[in-house]
Amino acid sequence: MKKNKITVDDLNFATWLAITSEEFNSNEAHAAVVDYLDKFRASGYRVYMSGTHRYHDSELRIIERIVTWTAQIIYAEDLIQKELQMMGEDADPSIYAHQIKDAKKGLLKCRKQFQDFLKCFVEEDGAIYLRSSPYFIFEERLMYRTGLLLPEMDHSLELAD
Amino acid sequence: MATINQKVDHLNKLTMIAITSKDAYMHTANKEVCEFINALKSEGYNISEGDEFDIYTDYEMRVIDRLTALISQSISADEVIRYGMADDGEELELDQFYNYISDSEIGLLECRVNYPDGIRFFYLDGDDIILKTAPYFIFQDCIMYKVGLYVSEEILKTKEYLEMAASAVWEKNPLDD
Repeated sequence: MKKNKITVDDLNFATWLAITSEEFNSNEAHAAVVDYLDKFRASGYRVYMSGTHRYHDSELRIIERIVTWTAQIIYAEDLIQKELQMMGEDADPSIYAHQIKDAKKGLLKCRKQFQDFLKCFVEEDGAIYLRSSPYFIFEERLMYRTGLLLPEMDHSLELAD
Repeated sequence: MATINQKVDHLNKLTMIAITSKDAYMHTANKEVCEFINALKSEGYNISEGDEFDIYTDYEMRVIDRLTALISQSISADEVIRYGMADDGEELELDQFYNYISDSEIGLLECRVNYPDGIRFFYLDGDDIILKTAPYFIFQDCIMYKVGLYVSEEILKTKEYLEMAASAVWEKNPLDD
């Protein structure tokens, strides 16, 4: 039996898996999310970044937890680089590697803990809007993972509002 | 006269003020917290960081999550401002990153208003006053510096610290034999 047309919930669930995966800190787009967005575009939807579609306080709590773990990975990776530069062969970045491991576990735990998942996109008037959060770390990571921001800074998203 | 429980409550309030201040993300000590801790030490209390069992409650973790997210935002924006470059070496427009730091400062002040008494960062256990352990090392680092349990670089450079270090009698390390 052929599956019904894709919904924004499908897109949001794929996005949720992308942002709670070990690779959330990667600049690589998540294939399933990009695929869903392409299908929406092919169906005539436009995709926008929205300044007015904001998250509720209960959703911000989830985002804050994701931000803390993501920042921990970014910070620890930075400290590893600094230690390697300063100490060379004597560097012992194992403590920071442990922090990265904890953060990756933390992201996966978020996935299990918040089973209703975050609704990063909303559909309105024939368009798909990416909601905005006050945390630029989250915004930047989310846009990379959804393919809306490309690593070479090619802004492929239109601004709404 | 205040009881020790009231003093620990006050310490938590001062710690909340320190960790929601503009310099929350910097590895510097907060004078008021450190002076209060020194007074507690002079009364015979031991102040220390807890172990992995001294953790925050779920309710407290909501506050810690928000504080850490805001502090992380300031750290990341400050890093960009210091180096002023994108991954590809292109110069960045920095105004936006100053705005991110301002937004974080506003967010931290909101936390202070929402939780004026702070949360139980410290708790009393006999003669010990123990700082709980957060799962986020960014937050734990910041709070350890703020309350003076880590020695900040600025203190390491003071004349008093250098004199104290010079006059310290170092224990012999048996492994050196």
